[in-house]
Amino acid sequence: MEDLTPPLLRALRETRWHLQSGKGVREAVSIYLSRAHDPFADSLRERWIPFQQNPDANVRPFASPLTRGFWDLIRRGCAGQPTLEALRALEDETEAAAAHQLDLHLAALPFKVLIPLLLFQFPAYLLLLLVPLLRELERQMGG
Amino acid sequence: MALILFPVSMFGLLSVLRIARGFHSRALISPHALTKIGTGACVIVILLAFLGANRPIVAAFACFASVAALFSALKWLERRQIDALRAEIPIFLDRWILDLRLGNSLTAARDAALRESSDRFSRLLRPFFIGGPSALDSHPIFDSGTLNEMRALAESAHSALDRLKNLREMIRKTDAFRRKSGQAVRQTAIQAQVLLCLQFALAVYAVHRHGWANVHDVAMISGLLSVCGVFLMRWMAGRVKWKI
Repeated sequence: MEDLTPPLLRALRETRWHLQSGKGVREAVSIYLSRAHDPFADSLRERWIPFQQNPDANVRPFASPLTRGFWDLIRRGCAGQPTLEALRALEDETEAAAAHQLDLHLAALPFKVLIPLLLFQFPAYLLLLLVPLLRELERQMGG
Repeated sequence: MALILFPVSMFGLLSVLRIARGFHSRALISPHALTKIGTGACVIVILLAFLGANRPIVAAFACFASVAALFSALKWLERRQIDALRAEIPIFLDRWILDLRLGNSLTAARDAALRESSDRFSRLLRPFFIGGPSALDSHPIFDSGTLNEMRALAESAHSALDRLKNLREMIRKTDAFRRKSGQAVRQTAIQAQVLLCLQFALAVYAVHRHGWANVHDVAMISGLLSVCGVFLMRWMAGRVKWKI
């Protein structure tokens, strides 16, 4: 079965999991980043490396509010504030947002699938049905 | 004729043996089923080599196709087995947690949970747990997160109950989302299969009605278009641009 879990949700789950297993935020994020290889992890890594060197450094903000919230929690966690409950709440919010987007994707899919149907399948059927008939007709007219 | 028959059948038989050995080493398909399928594939390969001896290219192609079909069928069976075994993980964790809460030690609770699991599941997991952390490098039914947690549990039993509960919750949530997202691809996959079957039936009709010589080019172009369409459909279904 195909897994379409959004990368942010994966990051949140893994970080929370490590926190619940007794690790600190810094360690949890480092472990997640060492394993994840997707565009979201790359963009997080891009901010994480300068942040580790200088926590006060200005890093480029994330575009989505959920991702910004995650980054905020990471900063707060690294500053020693408790983050586990907030991380769990953010995970719930992200799950709800992802489920909604997935519903929209499922609703739009029948229309999207019409494109390959019209561009590829329909011509394929037409070719098989009409070309042999036309050839036969041509042969009969020619003969 | 024997010069063609021999290499074609040997290539087929050796490929079947090699494929079967690979699947046997992973121990996910039962040896009984593997023997049956492998024997069937060997018989098909020999038959194809004999029947196609006068047309070596067709024989070689048919032999290659049957080997590829065998590989795909075994892969599909293995995938099904993995899915079935993965579905047992939360139940195994439930039992492990229950035994821990009843006051058993971590390993005693784990062994009791393994005893209550299916034969195949416990046979696959027993060496994994008994071998110690060195045996925990990879496992066909555990993803990397579960594997890391199992490794951590094997190294230290500290707050094992909380960690197991956490793992169970994580697996359940991930499975729930995966099931939901799988709907999209599953629906489209069924549509694509129906379309391919229709296309195949139409091609058979066209060849039967007009003869292979008259329609072979059309059948091929049409088949290619159809396969492209199916791939595009699957790609569209499995691609979500997340805006979160």
